[in-house]
Amino acid sequence: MTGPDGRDDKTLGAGGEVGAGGEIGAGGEVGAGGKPAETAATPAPRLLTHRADPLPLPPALHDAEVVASLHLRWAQLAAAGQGAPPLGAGDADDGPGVGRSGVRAKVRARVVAAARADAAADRGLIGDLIRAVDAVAARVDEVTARVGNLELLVQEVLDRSSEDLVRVQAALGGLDDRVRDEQA
Amino acid sequence: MDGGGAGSDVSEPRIAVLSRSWAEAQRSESAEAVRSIAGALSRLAPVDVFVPGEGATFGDGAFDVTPIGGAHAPRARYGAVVVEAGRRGDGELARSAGSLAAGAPVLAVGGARFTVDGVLDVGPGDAGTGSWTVTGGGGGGGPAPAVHHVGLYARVHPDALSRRHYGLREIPDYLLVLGDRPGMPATPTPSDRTRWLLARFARQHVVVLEGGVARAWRSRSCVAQFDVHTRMDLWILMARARGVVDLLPGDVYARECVEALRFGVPIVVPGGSAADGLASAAGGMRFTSTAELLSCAEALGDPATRAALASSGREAADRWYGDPHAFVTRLAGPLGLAVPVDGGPR
Repeated sequence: MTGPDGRDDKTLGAGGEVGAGGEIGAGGEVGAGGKPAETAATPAPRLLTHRADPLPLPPALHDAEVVASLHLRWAQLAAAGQGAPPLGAGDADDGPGVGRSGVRAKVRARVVAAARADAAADRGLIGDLIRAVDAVAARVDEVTARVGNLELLVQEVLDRSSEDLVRVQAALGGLDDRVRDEQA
Repeated sequence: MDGGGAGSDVSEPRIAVLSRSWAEAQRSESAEAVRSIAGALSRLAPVDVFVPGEGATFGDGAFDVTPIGGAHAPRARYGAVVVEAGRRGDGELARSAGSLAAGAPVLAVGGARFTVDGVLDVGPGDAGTGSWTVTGGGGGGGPAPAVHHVGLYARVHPDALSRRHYGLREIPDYLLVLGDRPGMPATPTPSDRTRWLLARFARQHVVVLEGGVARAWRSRSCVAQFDVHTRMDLWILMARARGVVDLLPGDVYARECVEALRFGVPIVVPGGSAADGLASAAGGMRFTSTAELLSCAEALGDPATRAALASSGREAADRWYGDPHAFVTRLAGPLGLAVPVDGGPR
């Protein structure tokens, strides 16, 4: 909002209103002597277009629900497998080598043996997969922590170098020269 | 009332307030100052407010406001006249002030220049106390003009101290910078001087307020942005700041600086500005170069320095800008008006 002197409201937007307690909202007329000329003897530092402060790290993947539920499910399956009757147990009283049922029992026994071998291999593979998932999760967590530390380090290096460079500029008198130019 | 609120009966002294900003720039610092003065003077005598232009008298709060032009030109005589016309001055208001005063004291607000005898200039400038002053009554080869420390009344809401601005989120501690580019629309790139501050204090949060938009910076990058709509929003931001750097204080009485000090927040202001006296007297620091600005802002990081400035600044600001009754009494002196025992006519 431009005031009668051609100067705008300094700090607040155009939508000033009555604030709490009946206080009149918004704005100061702007002041004193106009805006100082900004000569470019020492250019002002440039700013970053992206946030340099690290965002919070994601939670550890190793403790995440998706990995934890994998362990839980596997434990439940293993427990069920151990408690279940062995395959073909219902035909045990048929007795081996007795007529047709004896042949059937032999076949069943071979099938059971083959199935047990497959199940053991499956369980082994699943166990290996779960351990692999654990390892990947642990590695991801470690990398995440390292990236987080790296972000902090980058921020600290940026901050300290930025402050030090400004101090050096001030010590060298670059900033004072600049203001003398303005005042002149 | 003949031609604008004032009667021709001179047995009861009346006061005329002529203001350009009153209606044209209601939210300006000039208008705020004139309203504060008019409010104080209304405790001493009936006040008639005149603004440039034509039209019918209209109500504005406790005052009737009369356009001074055309058929409504006031013809009454007044016991005191206050005139505010902006920095460029205003011929119509100046002529009206002269004719209305007719020897009565004229209080010129905001650096306006008038060719009226006995004019009293009111404005900032006292480095000893930080008070707004009324200067005049001398000159013309005679003794030096008398200086009256009158102060002003600048309202702040005490609840701002206990609130937290939603936009700050997790930002615990920050330096508040009020920008120096009043004519520019809000832009993501701060001014040169602000950028020096952001680079020098990269490890701290710095909130830059310009054009109604606040941006929080950390590590030379913007980490939050939010709108500041109301005065209350501004006060909340001020009240929790480690310090307020006002790169371009208002030239009437440096309103934001006064308000910050009333919250006990130290200020850093340019030398020679309207806030210079206030900062020099108590509660702040002044700079004349970017290097000095950085040094002042660095000093605010020292808790002992900050506490000392906050205490003395708040005391001075409350004394000169926070006591409406004392302001009435102090303003009556240079205008030669008596302070009623019962609190005045309004």
